[in-house]
Amino acid sequence: MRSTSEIQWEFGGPLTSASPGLAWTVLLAVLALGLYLAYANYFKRSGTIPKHRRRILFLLRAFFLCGVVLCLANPTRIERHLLDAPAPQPLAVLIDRSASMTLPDNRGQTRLESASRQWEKIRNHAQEHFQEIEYASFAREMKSAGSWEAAVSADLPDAETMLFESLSTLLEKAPLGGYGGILTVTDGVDTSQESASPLLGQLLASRTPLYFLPGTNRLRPRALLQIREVDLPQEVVRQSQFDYHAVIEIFAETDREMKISIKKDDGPPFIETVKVKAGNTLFPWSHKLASAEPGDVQIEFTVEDGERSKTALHQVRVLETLDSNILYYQGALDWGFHFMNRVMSREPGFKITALFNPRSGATIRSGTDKDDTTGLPDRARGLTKFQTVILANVFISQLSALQQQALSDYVRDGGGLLVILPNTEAAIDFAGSPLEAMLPVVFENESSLSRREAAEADLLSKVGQSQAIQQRGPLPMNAAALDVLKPFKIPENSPLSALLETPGANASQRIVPKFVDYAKVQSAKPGAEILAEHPTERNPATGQPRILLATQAFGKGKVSVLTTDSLWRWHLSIPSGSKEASTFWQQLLLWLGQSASQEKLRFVERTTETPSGAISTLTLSGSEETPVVTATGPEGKVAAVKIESGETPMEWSVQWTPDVEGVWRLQAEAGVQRTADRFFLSTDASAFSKDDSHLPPAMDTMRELAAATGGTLIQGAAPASWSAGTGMVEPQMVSERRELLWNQWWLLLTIFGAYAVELILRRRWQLV
Amino acid sequence: MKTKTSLVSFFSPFLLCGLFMVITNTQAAEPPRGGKVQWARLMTNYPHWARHTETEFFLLEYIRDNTTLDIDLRWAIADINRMESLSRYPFVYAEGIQTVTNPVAQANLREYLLRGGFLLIDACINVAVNPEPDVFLAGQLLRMKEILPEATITPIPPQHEIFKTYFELDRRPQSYMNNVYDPRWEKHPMYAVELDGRVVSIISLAALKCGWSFDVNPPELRINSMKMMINIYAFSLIH
Repeated sequence: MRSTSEIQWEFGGPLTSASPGLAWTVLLAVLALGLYLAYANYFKRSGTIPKHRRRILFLLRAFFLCGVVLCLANPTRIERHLLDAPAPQPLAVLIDRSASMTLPDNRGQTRLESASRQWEKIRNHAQEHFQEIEYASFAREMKSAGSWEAAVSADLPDAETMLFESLSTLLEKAPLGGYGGILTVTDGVDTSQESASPLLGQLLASRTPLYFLPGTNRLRPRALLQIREVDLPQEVVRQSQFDYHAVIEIFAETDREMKISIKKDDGPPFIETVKVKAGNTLFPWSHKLASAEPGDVQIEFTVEDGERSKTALHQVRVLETLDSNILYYQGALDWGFHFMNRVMSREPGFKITALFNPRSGATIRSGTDKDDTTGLPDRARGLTKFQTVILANVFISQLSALQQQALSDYVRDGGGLLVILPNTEAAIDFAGSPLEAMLPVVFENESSLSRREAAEADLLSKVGQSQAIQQRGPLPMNAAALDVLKPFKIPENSPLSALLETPGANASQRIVPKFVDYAKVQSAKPGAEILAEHPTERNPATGQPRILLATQAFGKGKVSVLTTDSLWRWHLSIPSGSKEASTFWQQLLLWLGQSASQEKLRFVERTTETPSGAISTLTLSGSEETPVVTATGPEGKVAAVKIESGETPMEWSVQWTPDVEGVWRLQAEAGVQRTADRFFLSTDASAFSKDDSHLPPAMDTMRELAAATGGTLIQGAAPASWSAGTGMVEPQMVSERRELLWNQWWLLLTIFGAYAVELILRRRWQLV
Repeated sequence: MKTKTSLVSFFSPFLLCGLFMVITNTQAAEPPRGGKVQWARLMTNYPHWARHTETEFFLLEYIRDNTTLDIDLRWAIADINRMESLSRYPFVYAEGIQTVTNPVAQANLREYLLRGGFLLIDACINVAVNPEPDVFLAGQLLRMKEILPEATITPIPPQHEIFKTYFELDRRPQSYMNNVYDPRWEKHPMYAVELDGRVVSIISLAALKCGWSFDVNPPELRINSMKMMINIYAFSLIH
């Protein structure tokens, strides 16, 4: 941390926007006029007053005028506390040394060799832009290396490619200040079956752009069909809808049809046939399922491509009510909580703890839950009992650095966070804050917000207040025309679109929230999802519709920003018997907090397959006490399970070895009524491992991941951003203090004292 | 000419001071505020529904100065006969609802309260308006029972959180006609109208509006009336 101090002339009023030269010209002209008038007054008038007295009076007047002009120029001392300019951020080059990168094609060329040639073309650009480059290689695990050559020749070839895990490790080992970027030389294949979401959150939090330098060759791939990951809730509420998401990976030598079917218990299956083109396809598929009455429901998901078939089994618990603990933290006073709490308190299972921080030093508790939370916790541990935290009308100055860190840790561990911004001023306030790093939108900063716009708003406010003072009359009855409720525009592909569908109704009967005011944000961050947009207004800078609701994954959790008013006007406009508002909040909050099951026992991984005969490691989350886990295979075969402490106090590492192929069921228990169930299909290990299965480079995966972090997939030339000077990071301003230098009692007293003395002397010397 | 120059010279410092004040008109930074909201009077067929609205400004300015509420300094009219008018305001101030017998108006007010709106009924202390406090109260209770028959109406005890929600108040402020103590008004507490365990309305005979509108005795009663008003507002807003 370092401090700087400088003195600036900050002309006010009509001179605010004038250049310093013009402002000084105006002021000096005024001064010259004043001096001339004083001169004319004292020296060009007849009288008996001696010359030396005239000089004294003129000097007093001149002193006064100079003093006033000096004050008008508004000298201001500006003290800034800056975080020391961070050391230049190096580029990390991470080289994939797994088997798929080192297998030669029919020309004897490997993907690594092809990537090496591309690297030589862009090496100088990288060197110039980043100044420092660090190297590492990975296959099963990441290892540092001193140079490209050392990394390439590292003795690492392995059948496993832990791409996401290695990137994550690299980020954890980043130097102070982080990397300016990570260039990954790979074919994009990751054999860990892990999702890229946690890594994406880590990259966004550290603001590290990811670049991919793809390694390609002409290897002929083997056929493949795999259910790569599956996502569905472990528990759902009765008579509701829930989504089943799956990602299927298929490599086919010819165009073909893939049959996908899903069924609940012994009910009729839903079958869909999709056409798959020759080559490698990563196919996301989702289907909406309806829950029935409370109990356990078995779900069977099958994919077939004519030659192969894969099945995944799941068990979902249908509950009468779904418990959801919400922490509602409100800064400035607003009606949002009153109306949300009114509708949500009728929903069984929802408990709201509300904390209001309406003024400095005051915290008021409210809500339906009578727990012992008295303030916004400054440790993530204090937040784990909540599935979702809502920050409503909170200004960043109301949150300490520790509280912001706690929120960040809480979301990273799976919590849901909804930030409701009341107006553009609050949004601007967030710009540059540590909390902003995890939010899905880029806030306007004061310099990017039109000063004219701010001045107009200020003027309108003053005019309004002035009219109120003068007239003391009511708002015109037609003033409501200014408060017209506008509907959210919900893009069809937005997850909100499905969430707000009424079960059994068609899409036109979807719930559409309405708003009056909204805060302007600059844009969505790379990787963020826009859930709702303004129906008409667009950002003039980008031409894109203004964002009303956006979300992004951060670590294991989700963060959303609602930029509209707190929707209380919409609540008041809905007939009292309507469930629209409660459905909206219920669905949004459950969706946001669905990963926040720190206190619910669950297996973290989304995979459904595991290699037979190999040690399989899973993460079990949601218990402080050691859970009991059993693994039961085909024909009641039981496998030994080893349980060890995980990375966090609530996590456990579960190791087991399915020694026969078939369906295995893992059941975990911890405490009273806390269980978790997962089914795994154990398959032939050689077929399972695909690093050496000649899969083509996963170009789409690499492109999407890079774009989401602000990086790019490098093909041929160096990224354009590398040509824009060096990657030096500007020092970050922590605080700024402005002191008006003229605003000193002794200075003002001296200036006006000179004038007072002049007036007294004029009287005494009988010069009226 | 000489006199003119002398005058100009004499007043030029004052002109410069004026210019100085214009140029350095640096307003104190506004505190962070929540969403925009308007203060509304309930317009009914009661002839006194808009009584002393000319002093509403004092209260609204006090609210703006002492809270983070982004409340408009102009008061608005919530027409009981039009649901779309009522549903613009989360909190409505009424002089009384004893004359609200029209079924449409009653149905609108009921729907407003069921949707989450909040109604404060505050008696005027003037004997020309309310000569008998008991009669005023009976009128409010009668209409409230017609509008919300399922609601319960109970006195608010002195230790209730409403007296310290935002400002810590030792006691309920009470205004009197011409500042002359009158036990007939003093004896009445405030009454809470509860629906499903939630306060949806408050009936006050404390004459808070009279308190903030006039020179009252003791002088702090004026401020305390506004503080009580803020407490009621904040209470309704956080529940």
